[in-house]
Amino acid sequence: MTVFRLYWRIFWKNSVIALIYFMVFIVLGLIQVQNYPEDEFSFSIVKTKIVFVDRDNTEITQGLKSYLEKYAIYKDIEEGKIEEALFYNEIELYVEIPEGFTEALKEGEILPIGIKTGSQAPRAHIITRTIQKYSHLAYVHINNGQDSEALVSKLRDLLDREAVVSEVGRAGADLSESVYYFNYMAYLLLALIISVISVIMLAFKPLEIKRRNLLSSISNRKMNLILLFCNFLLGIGFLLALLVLGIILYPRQVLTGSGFLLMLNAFIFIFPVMALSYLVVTLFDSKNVITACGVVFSLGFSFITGVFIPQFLLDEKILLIAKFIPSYYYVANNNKINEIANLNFQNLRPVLTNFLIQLGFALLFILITVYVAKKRETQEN
Amino acid sequence: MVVKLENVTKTYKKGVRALDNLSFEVRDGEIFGLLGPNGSGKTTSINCLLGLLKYESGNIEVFGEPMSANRYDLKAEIGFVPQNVAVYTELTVYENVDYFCGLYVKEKEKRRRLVEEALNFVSLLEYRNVYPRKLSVGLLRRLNIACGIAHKPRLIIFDEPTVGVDPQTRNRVLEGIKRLNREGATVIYTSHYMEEVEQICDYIVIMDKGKVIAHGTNEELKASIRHGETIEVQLLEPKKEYLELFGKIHNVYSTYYKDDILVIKSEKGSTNIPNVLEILKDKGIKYGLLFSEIPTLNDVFLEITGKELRD
Ligand SMILES: Nc1ncnc2c1ncn2[C@@H]1O[C@H](COP(=O)(O)OP(=O)(O)OP(=O)(O)O)[C@@H](O)[C@H]1O
Ligand SMILES: [Mg+2]
Repeated sequence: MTVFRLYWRIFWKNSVIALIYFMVFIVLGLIQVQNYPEDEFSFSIVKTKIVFVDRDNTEITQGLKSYLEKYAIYKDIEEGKIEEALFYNEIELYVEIPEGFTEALKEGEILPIGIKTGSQAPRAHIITRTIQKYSHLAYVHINNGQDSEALVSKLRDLLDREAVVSEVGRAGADLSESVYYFNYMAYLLLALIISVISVIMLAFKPLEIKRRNLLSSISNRKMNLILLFCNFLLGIGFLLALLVLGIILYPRQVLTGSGFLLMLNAFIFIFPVMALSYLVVTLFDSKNVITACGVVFSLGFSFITGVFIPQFLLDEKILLIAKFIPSYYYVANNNKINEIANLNFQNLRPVLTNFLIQLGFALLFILITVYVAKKRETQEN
Repeated sequence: MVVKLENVTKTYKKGVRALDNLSFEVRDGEIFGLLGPNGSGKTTSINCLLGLLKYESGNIEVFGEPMSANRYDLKAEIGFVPQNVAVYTELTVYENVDYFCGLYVKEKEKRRRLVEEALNFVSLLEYRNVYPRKLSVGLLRRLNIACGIAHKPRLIIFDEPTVGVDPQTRNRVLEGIKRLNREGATVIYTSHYMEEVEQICDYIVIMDKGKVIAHGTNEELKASIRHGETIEVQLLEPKKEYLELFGKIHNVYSTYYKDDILVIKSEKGSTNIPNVLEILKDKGIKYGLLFSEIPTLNDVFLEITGKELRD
């Protein structure tokens, strides 16, 4: 109890850093909310800017293009500049129908349609789903002996009828805004946990302090367990605060099955970050160095693993490095969860894999920490 | 017997042999002094006896029972004031003492009283809400002491508590230790300042290179050596031939110059001051100041090891 109280006392005295991070985050979050339409209703009023490249150019594919006019405004952009345009929000979606698409449908196969979305593309979702439905319907009805023109108008009918129903029946909600929020959380969790938890742990680190505590009725093991427990509580506390904020900002997105997955992902992400904070405090003895680590790791990791800039815009080489960092898998997982339309085991497999990878990182960091700590201890004896 | 070390040998991982067959005993109710130059193994022996360090051979008993890292019952009766200040920089003076006291005393009201008492003891009451960063070295050392003694342990160990402290604070600390001892605590006091040890310790062990080189009371130690008196004369015109001249005096066993000061050392017996004065007058040697010094622990150390306690 004494140590427990001490921990929170020391936290309290270091809580200014946490408070500042939270304030910044809340302000950014609010700006974010204002930039987004607040519900699905407003999506339909504002049309999405898209680039539609039709390499097949049949009546069927042209039919899709004209149907999409309900939701989309078509833009012409040079092929090399697509990614840039996506990044700067000049367009929100890029669609590429592959050559031979219609032929393949007749053969009983749906060729994958190339789709790229921008960083902030909440509305693009409706379009990608419409495209999926269109191709599925076309696949089902194409060999009914109708001519293409009749087929296209039939598809339009079917889509119009289904549009209303399907919004209700969908399991995975459209998470685009909250995914952005959750991705951004990676930055904050890294910054908070490394700078706050590591700094608290630093207070317990000096050899003299350790020895002094060892002299009391508390064993080293018990002490470490109490600290671990407190750190865990604090980590969860940070997470909860951020989740509550997320729920307040995007209740319709977060309080869904997919939203739950996002929260679970964030919970799992706590583990590698906490392990990293232990590693940092084991390696460094100075408060300034540790605070700097908090800034450098959180910003650096966030830049190269797709928190600030979407992963698909990042350079291959950078992504290669990013794969050695747990937040890459956290962000990738958020994006993946957003893409899943139906929450079934098959679809969740990659998500689970990413959970395991994150936990693997936690284990790795812990092993390194234990190794370094053992080495240090030997030097002290 | 409160503490008993028996043939303790400790070698650090880097190969430094810090304790070499070290044995000593601390009796109930005494102030026990552990005197030795820097690096002689004082801190190492304290850490071993507290169960903080492993050692490869020997036995250590505290309160008559074998001491080890998990004897929390024994540790609870020990107060420790480490050589390096061990306090939390995030906590105020009061909170620090309260924390360390709280490791032993759970009862709130009792603890509050003990903390107040400890702060009063080191005269830090007015600094209760100050953070350690803002304290001077002397005040910090006093806080360090308060943290170690607040729970009123039976045995208190001070590891060089006065390093870097002004003379006034030092005297206060020493007085305080005597008071704790009068109130019933057994004290182990380590230092490389012989004056402090002479001033407060009932029994003294002198260490060098991890070994006990002498032990006894202050008087016993001084009586054990042949040295009896040091006379120092400041000469206006020091000459080499004087060394021989004064060396001939009965009982004098060594003469040498320390700058312009002639040092004359004689064995135990009657004082040689009259003899020295007579020669000075006879030969018309001009001199400034003249001191005579009875033996110190430094002389004991010097005679046994051939080197000064402090260089
Ligand atoms: N962690 C360590 N690793 C290796 N050698 C050490 C370690 N700590 C102390 N030593 C060595 O052990 C010897 C005894 O050191 P110790 O600190 O016990 O001496 P001390 O009498 O307390 O000295 P001081 O008056 O400087 O505090 C010294 O030679 C020292 O260099
Ligand atoms: Mg020492």
